[in-house]
Amino acid sequence: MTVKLYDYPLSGNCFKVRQMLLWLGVDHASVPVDFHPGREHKSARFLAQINPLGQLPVIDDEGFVLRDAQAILVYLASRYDDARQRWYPADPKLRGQVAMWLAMADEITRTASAARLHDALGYTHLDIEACRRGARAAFRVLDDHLAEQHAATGLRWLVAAPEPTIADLACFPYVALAGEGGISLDEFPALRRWVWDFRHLPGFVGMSGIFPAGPA
Amino acid sequence: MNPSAASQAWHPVAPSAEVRAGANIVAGFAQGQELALWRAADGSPQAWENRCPHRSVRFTLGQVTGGDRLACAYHGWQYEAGSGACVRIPAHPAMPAPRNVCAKTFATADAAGMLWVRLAADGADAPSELGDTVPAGWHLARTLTLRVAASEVRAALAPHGFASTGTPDAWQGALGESPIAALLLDAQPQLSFLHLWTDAAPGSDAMARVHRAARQLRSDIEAAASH
Amino acid sequence: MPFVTDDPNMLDDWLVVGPASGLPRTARLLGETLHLHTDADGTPHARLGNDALTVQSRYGFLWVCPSGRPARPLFAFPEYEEPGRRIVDCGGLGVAVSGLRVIENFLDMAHFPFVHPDYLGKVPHTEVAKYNVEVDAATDEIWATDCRFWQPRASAAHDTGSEVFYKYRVMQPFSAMLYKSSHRPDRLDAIGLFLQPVDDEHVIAHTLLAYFDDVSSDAELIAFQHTIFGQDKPILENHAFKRMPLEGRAETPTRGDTTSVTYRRWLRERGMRFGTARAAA
Repeated sequence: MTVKLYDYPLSGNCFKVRQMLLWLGVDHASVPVDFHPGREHKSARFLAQINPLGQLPVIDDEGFVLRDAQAILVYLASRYDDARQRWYPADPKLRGQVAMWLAMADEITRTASAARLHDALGYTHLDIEACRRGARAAFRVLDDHLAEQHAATGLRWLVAAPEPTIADLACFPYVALAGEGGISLDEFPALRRWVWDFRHLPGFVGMSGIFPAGPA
Repeated sequence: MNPSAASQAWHPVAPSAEVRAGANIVAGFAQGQELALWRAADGSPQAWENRCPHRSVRFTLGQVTGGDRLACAYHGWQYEAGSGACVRIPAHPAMPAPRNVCAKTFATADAAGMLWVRLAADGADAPSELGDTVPAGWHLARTLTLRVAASEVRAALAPHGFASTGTPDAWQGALGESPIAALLLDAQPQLSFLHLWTDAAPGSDAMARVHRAARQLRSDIEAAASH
Repeated sequence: MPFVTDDPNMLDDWLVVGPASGLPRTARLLGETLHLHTDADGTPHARLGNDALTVQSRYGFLWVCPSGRPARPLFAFPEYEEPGRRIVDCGGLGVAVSGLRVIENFLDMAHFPFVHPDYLGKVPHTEVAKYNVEVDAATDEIWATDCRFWQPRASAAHDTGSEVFYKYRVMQPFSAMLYKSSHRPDRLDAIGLFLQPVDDEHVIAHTLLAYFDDVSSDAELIAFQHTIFGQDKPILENHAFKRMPLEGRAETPTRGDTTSVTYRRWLRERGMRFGTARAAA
């Protein structure tokens, strides 16, 4: 099967889907959307035919169309993960934790991603200081959680399981790209360690702005 | 020079276990100096000015390669552990690396579970009292970061029940009813790190109480500083 | 006194303020906010507060001369009008570093295997062969010629590895062009990089393609350029000091850095101050 992905290289939300497809071994075909400068995702045609919210990513899996990066991760992991189901675990407590961090991923998009759109793509209508403040508040919650969980259990991913889940993938890119929005990660040592750990997962390909780990 | 003044110049930049041999590069900070912290494959700790001498790109974007070299992310220039000397320039593979190109290195020491860095280039050895700053067998509860100057943290620790020890910026007290050894790092003008060690066992209720009390301490200190 | 600098290299030159379309709008330049609009007959206007600024429309962009006394005409760009080329505006991307470092990065090949692996270079093909750099006496522009580099995929339309030939040109401290092998054996594609200097440590990087390519869509060409630029961004934004040192020994070039050595000397000789760092003691 080949999943069609409406895609843009600088979108962290699109990266989440590209990376998930790779880790699940599912082929995909990117349909490039002129996000900038063309704002194609806000065109009448895109709103009418692909996503009325005017956002990326959108997938079309042989006729099954889904928008929203986090929703797409849930779908892909549910459908294509192997029997271990490590990406979207079935255990109720773990699944509840995943949902909690997927909601955090939305908050990260609202703040850190928006700050990056302001600084890099000229979205000057956004309240940049509110975005940065919001991002720092969200990052502190993440840093506290990662530091405390690691000290208590030795676990290093967001959910209390030994392997990363879609919760980590959903929260990762706009944390890793925070500097492009003027948000420093200096004050979040546990978050910086989590970013390093995630980048060094086997098969991590990164995106423009997030280096994959090179050969040692 | 008496032992206390000597150890004041050694900064606890990171827990030793956070910087893994031949693996990661961790950003470190001490009195506004940016550092790239890493270990060669043999475990020897490296603390370098976080800046490649070629075009000043931060070393923390790069990676450890070949076990004992740090490669810059920009042009792949490689620098060897210990001396910090540039040993390879990939744009000219056959050329011997220029003698005068060197990362700026700082003295390091592992003691009491922490990686310490000295900014002064005076060749001084790490004083033995660094090893006494954390009791043997204790666990790292966490590194707390506070958005305030180190002076604000120092002023707040005594009212919160912490006593200074013989070693500057090594404090003893309690959080959540567990005894605590707190090591303060003056990272940046408005950023301090407080490494909190405790005898509470990992995963215990006591450790969870330490964590909650640590967050409360942070919010008290930051709120006081903002007035 | 308006503007964040009094450096004549900036005030007396033509500075890009973004596309000629999408008006009226504001634009940030040298620490100030300009207002741009066009008349009914299409004549562009630029205003800082109540003061009209000297402005022209060329190559699909607006260019402002802050002092009103341009020291030279805007550079020539014959490829822009050449029949058979398609012109694609890849948009402006903000970068938090001195524009001088952005231009220097644009002129550099040695970083291709490390920053753009599998696109513009690949380890172990890291060697930079000797090339030629000159300053054209008539135009005072820098030209680097005979540049070549092994690349696995040089643009959206190439699928296999090959040695790609490059020429580089620096027209202004904040404007450069690169020319590389195209689909036509006898013609070179051109990529223009025009930096809008927001202040000493911030630019908006405008990229314009003048390509021989009848195959790729605009979205594909833009996606490729953004992929490449997005890979440079964390490098550019992580220089330990954002301004470029023109003196002192804080930074050491090597043999393959001939274009950048020439560029820094060229900046020194014209007394460049904007975007530069004072020498360390």
